[in-house]
Amino acid sequence: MNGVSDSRRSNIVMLSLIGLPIATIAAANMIPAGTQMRRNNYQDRAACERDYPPQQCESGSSSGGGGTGGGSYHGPYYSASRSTATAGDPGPGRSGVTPASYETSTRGGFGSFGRAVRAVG
Amino acid sequence: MQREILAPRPDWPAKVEALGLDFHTSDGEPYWWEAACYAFSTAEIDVIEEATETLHAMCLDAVGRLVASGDLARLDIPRAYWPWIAESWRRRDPDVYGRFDLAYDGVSPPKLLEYNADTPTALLEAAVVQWYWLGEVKPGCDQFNSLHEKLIDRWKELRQRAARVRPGSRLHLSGVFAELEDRRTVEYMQDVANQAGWPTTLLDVSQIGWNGHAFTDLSESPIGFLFKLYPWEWMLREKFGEHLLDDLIGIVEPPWKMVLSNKAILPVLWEMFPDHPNLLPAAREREAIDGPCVEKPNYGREGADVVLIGEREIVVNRSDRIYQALAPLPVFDGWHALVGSWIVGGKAAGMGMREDREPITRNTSRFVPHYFV
Repeated sequence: MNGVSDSRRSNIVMLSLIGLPIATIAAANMIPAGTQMRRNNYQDRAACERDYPPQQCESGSSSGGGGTGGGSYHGPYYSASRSTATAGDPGPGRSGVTPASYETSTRGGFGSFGRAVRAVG
Repeated sequence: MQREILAPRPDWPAKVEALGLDFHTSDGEPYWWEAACYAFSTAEIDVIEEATETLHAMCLDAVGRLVASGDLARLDIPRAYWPWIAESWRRRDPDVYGRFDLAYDGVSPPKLLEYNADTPTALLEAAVVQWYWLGEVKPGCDQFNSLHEKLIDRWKELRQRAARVRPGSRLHLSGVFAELEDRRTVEYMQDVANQAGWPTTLLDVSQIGWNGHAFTDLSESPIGFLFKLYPWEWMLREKFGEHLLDDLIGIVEPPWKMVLSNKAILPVLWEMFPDHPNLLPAAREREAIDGPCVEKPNYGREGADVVLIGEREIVVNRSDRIYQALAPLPVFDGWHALVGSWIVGGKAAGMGMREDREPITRNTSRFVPHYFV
């Protein structure tokens, strides 16, 4: 084969991420299958900000996979079960008032085989 | 093709760890092994390179044939996913990489043992660690290894495509991060994607969310493009598998690659290209193979459940296995040597050598650097 010998080896190999201590890499906690996340819907921004800081309240239509209806504003996702909540979980809202509606998102739907068997070849 | 005995660099552990290869030893046994290396001639590298691109072209032909015929049942792919896979092929969703495992002794044509088309590893050591080794240990020699540059080029191409579909797209990269090797492989892919201009986010495969309309990351942002070091056959059978049909997510490797990441493709290739010099006879029935053969599970990885079957040995054929004529690996100093030949964006991109005392290469088999002159 002609004309390929000059392209057979990388001219330069530079890395920017590799070799960092593991602790600096994104968290890799395994999330159990079926962990449900939830976010509250509110009729207006003021109602949302009674539960969360302003920067965590967003306008927009409902986009969740389930729940109890829509609203003009929504708060951040939080773990539906306090037993599976992580340190940064924003929680269900500081007012303690049950929201009029909420949306749900689910995690842990991939990875079950990987927990049991090594994944690659 | 020769195996040379060398004195390893005195500080080799620190050097390879600095490059991310902190899994160079496992259970006290070395994985990275630089007390030896493999030497090739340019002509031998030519042969491997040509065989790799030929095999890649044949594999694409096989995907086209199977998709056109609608016959994915023999690959044990659930029927519900067939149209989705076919559409992925018709769109020519871009692939990035794969690794052909070859039996090659420097004399006879390389023979395809299997194609790791979906989740190949041993990438960091092939692309980076042996490249730096060459510069220190064999500075006047060459190496069949343009993986790093070709990966960056390929991710640039994908970014340009993505920009046309979804401007400002972010690439999410995922795998089983509890496995150090997998995490390092994903991090390396993140590195080259970053160098290609992609904004990136890492997350464990279990952290991928579903909000009813889209897959999401931990900040609940929709995932538009995903690199996953996680086998397709597992994703399809897990809880979120059905949602793959509902989302327009772009995934690398693309769905059509699962046609190839399955050893049942080996009999298909043999049927399509009988007596091809780079293929071994393969069939779904043991009796169709003359002489000694190897029984392989359709979805096995890293030599798991691979069984050598003697010339007159009779077995009960199983629908989840294929049978392939035995092509013994060449043995050097008592080590069985395997060529792992990489393809990136359809081009042969380099190789990595693995060796083992046993005739079957497994995940514990050593990675040994190479050079050619």
